[in-house]
Amino acid sequence: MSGVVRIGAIDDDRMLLQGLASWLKPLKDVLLVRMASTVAEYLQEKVVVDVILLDLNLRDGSNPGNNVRELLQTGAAILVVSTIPDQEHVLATIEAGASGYITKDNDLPNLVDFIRAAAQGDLAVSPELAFLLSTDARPQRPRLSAQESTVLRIYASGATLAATARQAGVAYGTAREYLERVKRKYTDAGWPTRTKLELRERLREEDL
Amino acid sequence: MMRNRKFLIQGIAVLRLAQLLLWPACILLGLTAGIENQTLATVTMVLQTLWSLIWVTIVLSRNDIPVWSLWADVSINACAAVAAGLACYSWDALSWSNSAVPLALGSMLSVALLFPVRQVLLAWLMLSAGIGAGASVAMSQHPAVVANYFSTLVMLLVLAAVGALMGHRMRVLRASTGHAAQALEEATMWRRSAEAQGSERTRQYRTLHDTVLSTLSALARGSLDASDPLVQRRCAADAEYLRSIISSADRSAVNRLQGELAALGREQAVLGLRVHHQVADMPATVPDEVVATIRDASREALNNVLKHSGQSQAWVTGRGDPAGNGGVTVTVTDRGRGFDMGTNSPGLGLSGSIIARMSEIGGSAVVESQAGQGTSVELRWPA
Repeated sequence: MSGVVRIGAIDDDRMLLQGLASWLKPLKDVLLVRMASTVAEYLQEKVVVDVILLDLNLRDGSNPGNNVRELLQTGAAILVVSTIPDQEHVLATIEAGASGYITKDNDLPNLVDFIRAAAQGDLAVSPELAFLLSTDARPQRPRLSAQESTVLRIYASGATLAATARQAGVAYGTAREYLERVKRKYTDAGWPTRTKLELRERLREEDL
Repeated sequence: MMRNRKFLIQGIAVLRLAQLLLWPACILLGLTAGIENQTLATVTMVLQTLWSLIWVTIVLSRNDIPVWSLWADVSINACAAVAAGLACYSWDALSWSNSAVPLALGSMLSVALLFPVRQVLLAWLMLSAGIGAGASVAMSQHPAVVANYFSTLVMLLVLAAVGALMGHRMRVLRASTGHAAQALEEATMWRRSAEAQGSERTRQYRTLHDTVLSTLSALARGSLDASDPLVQRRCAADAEYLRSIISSADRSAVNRLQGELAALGREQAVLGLRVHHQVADMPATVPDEVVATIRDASREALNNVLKHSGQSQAWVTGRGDPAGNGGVTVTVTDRGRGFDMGTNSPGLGLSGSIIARMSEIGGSAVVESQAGQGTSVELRWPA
């Protein structure tokens, strides 16, 4: 998937969507193919994309976790975007299977990096997400090992993965593995909809 | 509330000292004529006096009456009552010549004031038995002494009842004033933190007025060109400021440090450095000088990022003490050039003053960097 990444975007703010479109226009390897202001509207038309940028709290009041679950059925990876880091809902989307979360203030290169990472199924943990994970105080939060917590904490402060690994005293690959494991623990804690296969089975069970 | 108890305890000690003076007074007034066995009476009185002095010393030095000492006192006074009663002529077994009776009454009162009813009854039985044993020979010879004995018992009982009532009353009072004082303290604390938050809000509104509102108004009037990079930068700065105060509002009590860090992000954004501001679990209040020092140290760290990192973004992360002890840690991190901690350190000279400042307020600063891996400065208070 080193070529063009096709993306969709869902945001209730039309102006922001237009802004995003004009922002991405000059890029040849990221193609914005569909925009919608609600999940329902987005799903009306079947379009195949690699990544969907989903606004965390849509004005229609739809549940962020459910939005992620519905959109996962299209086979796309979901990147949740928001202005304000609303911890409860962000964690719910990660548990629902979203690939990552970023705030809207990220600049274009950052945004494109995250889109690519999500499209390739790579680690799409932003410092913002790491911070929300590291300050999760809910009783149902997954249990993290001491080393996972340390790596998460340092990475949450904005340090690069290399700097995080150095400060935590572990190898680069290990730090990366810890972050992946933390995210996996959250996804495992949520409804098991990580792969399309599992999802189809689940839907079939519910239909019966 | 604790003063009442202290007062009571001192009163009990003083009562005992006064009772010890009764004996010489009795001798002077010739009230000790009823003593048959001078040696036994004197030895008893001396031992009782010695013990009483020890007891009073313990009580006054600790400002409290240890439970064991009170029971020792009751036992000693009960035994003394046996000896002192036997030392008297039978007619005078319960008269002023019996030096142990007043002390037994004093002992009874102390127990009654401080102990619950059951213990008071036990002490009454012990003392009554002691006095009764002392007067037993006399009572067998003269039935009139039996009446005396009963009146002494009643006196003991009345003292016990009065003491117990007073003691109970004082305990209730102490408990209620204790609750009241605690409630008052909590209310004061709550109000203080509410006031601190209130003034923080006022400050934030003022900043909003000076920044976001004036920018928006200017844009609305059409007096600013929205495509001008300077205007865009200002809008980004305002947005960042808004975001930082909104995102911190629901996470923890707003303290001044959060406000200062948010304002710092805005200040840097105007200079072209985008600051990602994250805050969690901050304590409700942080001393003003600590707020000012951490703010200045963070600003200096951000200036270093601007000058040396070659990057246009930085992270400022504030965390409270996980144990909730009121401490804070603020980290200023970038993903820029960094430097080799061992050899050349362009940022370290400047960081020196950060470290010095932090240690002045009892905090610490740790700089972490490596060439090509960015720099992070961790400000911690207390160290």
